[in-house]
Order: sequence, then structure tokens, then C-alpha cells
Amino acid sequence: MRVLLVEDSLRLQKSIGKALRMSGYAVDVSGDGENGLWLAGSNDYDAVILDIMLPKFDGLTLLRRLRQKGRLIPILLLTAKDTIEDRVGGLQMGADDYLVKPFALKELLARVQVLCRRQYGHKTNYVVVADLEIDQTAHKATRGGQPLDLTAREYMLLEYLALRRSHIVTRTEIERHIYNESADLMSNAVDSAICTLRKKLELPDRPPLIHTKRGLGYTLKEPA
Amino acid sequence: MKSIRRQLTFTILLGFGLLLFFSSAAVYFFTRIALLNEFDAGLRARAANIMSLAEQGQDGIHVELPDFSLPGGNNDLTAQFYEVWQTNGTVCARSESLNDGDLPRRFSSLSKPVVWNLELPGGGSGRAIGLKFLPQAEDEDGKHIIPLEAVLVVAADRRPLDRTLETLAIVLLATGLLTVVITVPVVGFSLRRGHAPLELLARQAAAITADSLQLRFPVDSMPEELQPIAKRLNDLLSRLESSFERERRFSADLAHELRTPLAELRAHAEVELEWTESSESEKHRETLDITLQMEAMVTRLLELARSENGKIFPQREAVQLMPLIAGVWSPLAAKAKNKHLDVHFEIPPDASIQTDRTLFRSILVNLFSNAVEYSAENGQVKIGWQSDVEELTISNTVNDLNTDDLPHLFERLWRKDKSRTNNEHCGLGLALSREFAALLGLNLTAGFSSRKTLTLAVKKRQGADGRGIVSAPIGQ
Repeated sequence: MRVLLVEDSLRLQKSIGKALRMSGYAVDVSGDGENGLWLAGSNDYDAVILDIMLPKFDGLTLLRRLRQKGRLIPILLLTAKDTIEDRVGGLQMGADDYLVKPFALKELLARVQVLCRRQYGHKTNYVVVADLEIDQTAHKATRGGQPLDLTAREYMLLEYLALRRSHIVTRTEIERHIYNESADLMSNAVDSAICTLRKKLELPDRPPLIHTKRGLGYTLKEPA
Repeated sequence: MKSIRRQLTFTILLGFGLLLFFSSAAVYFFTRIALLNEFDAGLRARAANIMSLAEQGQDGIHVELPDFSLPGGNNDLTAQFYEVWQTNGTVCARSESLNDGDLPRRFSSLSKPVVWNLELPGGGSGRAIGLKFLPQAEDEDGKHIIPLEAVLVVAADRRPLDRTLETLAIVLLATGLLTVVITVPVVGFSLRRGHAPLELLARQAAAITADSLQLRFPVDSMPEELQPIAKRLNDLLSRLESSFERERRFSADLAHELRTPLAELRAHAEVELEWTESSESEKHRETLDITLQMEAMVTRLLELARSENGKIFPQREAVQLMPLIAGVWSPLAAKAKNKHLDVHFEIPPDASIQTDRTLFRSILVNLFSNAVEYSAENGQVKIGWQSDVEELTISNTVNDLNTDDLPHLFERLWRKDKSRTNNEHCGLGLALSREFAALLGLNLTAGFSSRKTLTLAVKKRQGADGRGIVSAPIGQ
């Protein structure tokens, strides 16, 4: 999952960024409204964490402009403004969630997770495809009851494919959702990652779950 | 209590009454003197008339009265009393009205006759004049007559005079009473009307509270005597309002500004606690604890500021007391057990309250938490609800509090412990609870029910709008 954090406090950028990355998210960070709007408009994020008081233009303006462009990315407003009017105003402007500073990090992560999950129409933190089970809370996956030893990037890739199961996912979509802005991508990075993941998912007597659609991309689906 | 209007009414009425009394008395007195003088003048005239008719002959003094039946006769004399004596006491003449009786024989010189009041023969009050004179000598046959002095007393019925004076007194008294009867309401009305602007000023001043400092006195519509006062009060209110606003804004701004650094600190501590080596975790735990404590203080400061600024709007609903109390008590039960507190709940199962659930819960959280925190080891905590007076009481035994501390309990950031060692409580809970109670139309008070038992009571405020606590069986 790829998340955009728009926050002018460098300390919070550092802490929240680290927490998100450690939780398996690809994170892009912006310190002002203008840059945040550009990033949100030009990348496919699964969620945006947005501060309200920002340099250049504020988070509510960013939110309004994004919605005016028809961008429906889930947005969580993270702000020190805590009155009912502030919350209602933010939600009515198109935000999906609202969290007041100071906040519990676990709560922030849980809310971001819910927003990402909602993107793909899931209501629980468990994704099951045939004998593959993914626990989004623990960031762990098993196949046939056997735990899979995945790196953070591999887990993200598996989770993304599983959330879009039965759909063809292009390489570009994978790049946009799994890698952040600063990642130095080689041309075959996605193919290589898929290959590695396939190997880790392989079990004797079990059909493969990841399929290649030549010229289109990849799909993770239950065996027919 | 002193009242300017009452004092002025009393003074004016007393002054007016005294003025009326003395002026009426003066009128009566001078009229009486004038009437008596006139009466006495009449007596003198009659005496002079009789003296002119008295003659001294060889055989003594005679008084020959004219034939009163003739035209031009002095009928007036018949209704009067007179008597003439020689100096030796021999009666020379007397009026028929005396019926052979006598008048008192008092007299003085002709130039200064004596005048006095007397009881007339036959009854009735009268007034008499007595004098000594020399009658005209009859010089018959040219014989010389040795002049003899005579004594004349003339009296007249003074009852008409007395009746006139009585009538005058009654008229004066009635006029005085009528004047007083009319004056009392007139003075009252005038003073009330005259004081209306002052009373309006007083009412408006009394209505000003810390929440209504935006009010101003209408200077232009006030009488010129009150305008300087109203102007000064308006200036004072402006300064107070600015000062209050500054203070409130400062509290709110400070609390708000502290949120971001607190968020930074907390996020940093939580990230480090979650994803760093265990040797560092204790330090990060402490950092997080400090952050959470500061966060609680900032949250309370903000709630206080919002409550004072009227930005909290209670949403009232029927709330069952027992489940609410149980829910609030639940997280405190373990601590109470560790301190070996003897806890009693005296809550009727059907008691309910009509209040804002969140605000009321917040009050209970503060009060219960204080009761557990500040109760002595092995102490007692009692939580009770009295339906008849609609009062919730929280009592707990204390060791270090006394009655001198009661006025400070609801002050912000007050702590009994001057060293302020306990970091778990910042001293804002009771202040906040009292603010919330006021919002809900409740009074939160503290007192000692015994020497070592502190009791905090939450009760519907007298004269509140009735939307505070009510007790009613559930389901009704």
C-alpha cells in the first residue's frame, strides 16, 4: 500500500513516516499544500494523511481541489483542530476520516489501514484467496497453514495483488502502489519481485496463485 | 439593607409632615391670637360703652342703660354679662343675664385691664375683662361730688369663638391628613420614576457576569447625572472584557499550540518504543508517560477554555445512573482494591438522570478518580444518590485535607501538596467538573460530613431550568 503524508512538522514527518514504513507501507512525504496536491494528483495512493495547517495553501484547500479533480483517494485529516465544527467541516468537505493531535500511533495506523482496505471493498483485516490467508493487522501471510517468509516489499506486493484478486494488475499499478516516489526502480523490478513471490508461494501439490497475462500484467486468483 | 429610595421617601415625608404640622400649628396659633384679640377688643368696646353710661350721683354710681327695645338700641348688651361695683363692693349695676348672680370681681387699671377666661353663670365658657374706672360725675345743682372709683367686669360667651377655632383646627387637620395621604403616593411615584434610571443601571450591573462582559450601559438614554457613571462602567467593562478575552484566548491558544509538539513527542516516543531495541524502551516509556500526562492537562485546559467560552452545548437525554456509575467505577476498581478501600454504592436501581451523558460522565470520572486517589489506605468510599433531594454524593476518608482547604478545592492547578510531587493529577479535574456541572444546571459542592470524611455533592441548582438531574423510575 502506498500512502502520502502531507505534514509540515519535520518531526512528525519522520515519526509517522517511519511508523508507516515499518508497518509495510510505501510512503511519500510532503511538507506543504502545493507539493502535496501535485503528488496526490500524479500518483495512485491508497490513502493520504493530511494536516490542515500547511504552508502555501492549507489542507482543506488541497482536499477541495483534489475532490474537484474527481480524485477519490481516501483522505485522513490529521490536525490539532478538534472542535466539532472543525471535524464536521473537514468531513463535509470530502475527508474520509479525522484524527486530532496528539494521537495514538496505533490508532493512526489502524485508521490508515481501514482507509486502504476500504479502497478495495474489504471490511475485515483478513484476505483469503483459496488456501492463501493474509492478516493485514499482523502483516503476515500463510499458505495451506504454512507461514510465508516475506520481506516488507514482498508482503506489500502480495497484499496488493490479493486485494485486487481476479483483476489484472499492470506493472505500472504495482509500481505506483508498492514503491514510493524516491524508489530507484529498475525496468524489471516488478517482474523480479513477482518471480520471487511466486517461488515463496509455491507448495508441492498446490496450483500456482499468481498468473501472468502477457502484455497486460498479473493476476492473483483461485485455481479454476 | 439601605435603600436610597426608601431613605429619601422617609426623609421627604418626614420633612413634609413636620413642615405641614408646624405651618398648620402656626396658622391655628396666629388665627387664635387674632380672634382672641378681636374678641377682647369687642369686650373692651362693650366695657367702654358701659363706662360711658355709668354716672356718679349723690347717692352713688348708677348705670342707666338705654331702652334696648328702641331702634338704635344696643341689643348686643343684653346677650352679654356685666357687673359694676363700687370699690367697697357695693353692686351698682349688673346685667339681667346674671339673674342676680355675680361675676368674679377681678380687675386692673383702665389702661391695662385684666382679661381672663371664665365659666359663665348658667354654664358655658366665656371671657371677661375687668377694670377700674372713674364714672362720669353728675353735677346736679352745682354741688361738688367726690369722685368714686368703680369696678367693671364685662364677660361674653366665647363658645362661638371656640367653635370657630375648632372648625379651623378640624379643617387644618383634615387638610394635613389629606395632603399626607396624597403626598405619600406622589412622593413614592416621583422617587420611583426619578430613580428608575438608577435602578435600571443597578439591574443591568447586577446582571453582568463573566459570561456577559459584552454588555454595555445605554449612556445616551440615561439622565445626565448618571452618564459619567455609565461611561466609566462601560470603560471598565471594555477593559474587563478584553482582559477576560485575552486570558481565555491565551489558555485556548496555549493549549492548542501545545498539541503539535505533544503529538511530535508522543509519536516519536511511540515509534521508538515500537521499533527500537529493548534497552532503550524504558526511556521511551517514560517519555511517553510524560507526554500522555501533558496531553491530559492540555486537553483539560482546552475543555475549560471552551466551557468558559460557551462552546460546549449539552445534549440532554435520560441516563440510567447505576450502569453509568458502574462503567465509570470499573477501571478504578483495581486501584481501590490495592488500597484496600471499603467501597459502598447506595444507588437505587431505578434512578435515572436527565442530563448530557458525556459531560456527566466526565464529572463522575473526575470525582471517582479523586475519591480513589486521595482516600487514605484502608479508607472508605461511599457513592450515594438521594432521590428526594436529587443529590449524588461521593464521600471518602481523607488524611491530609481540612476545612481550610475547601475554598481551594475547585481552584485550577491547586494542590494540597505544595511540592506538587504527584504527577498523575494536575489539579484541573475539580475545576473542570464544576464548569461542566454549571453547564448542566448543577451545583458541585464540597464539605466535611465528619472530621475525616470529605463529601462532594452534585445537586440540581436552585432556580435552574429544571433540565438538570431528575429521578424517575425507568420505563415511566
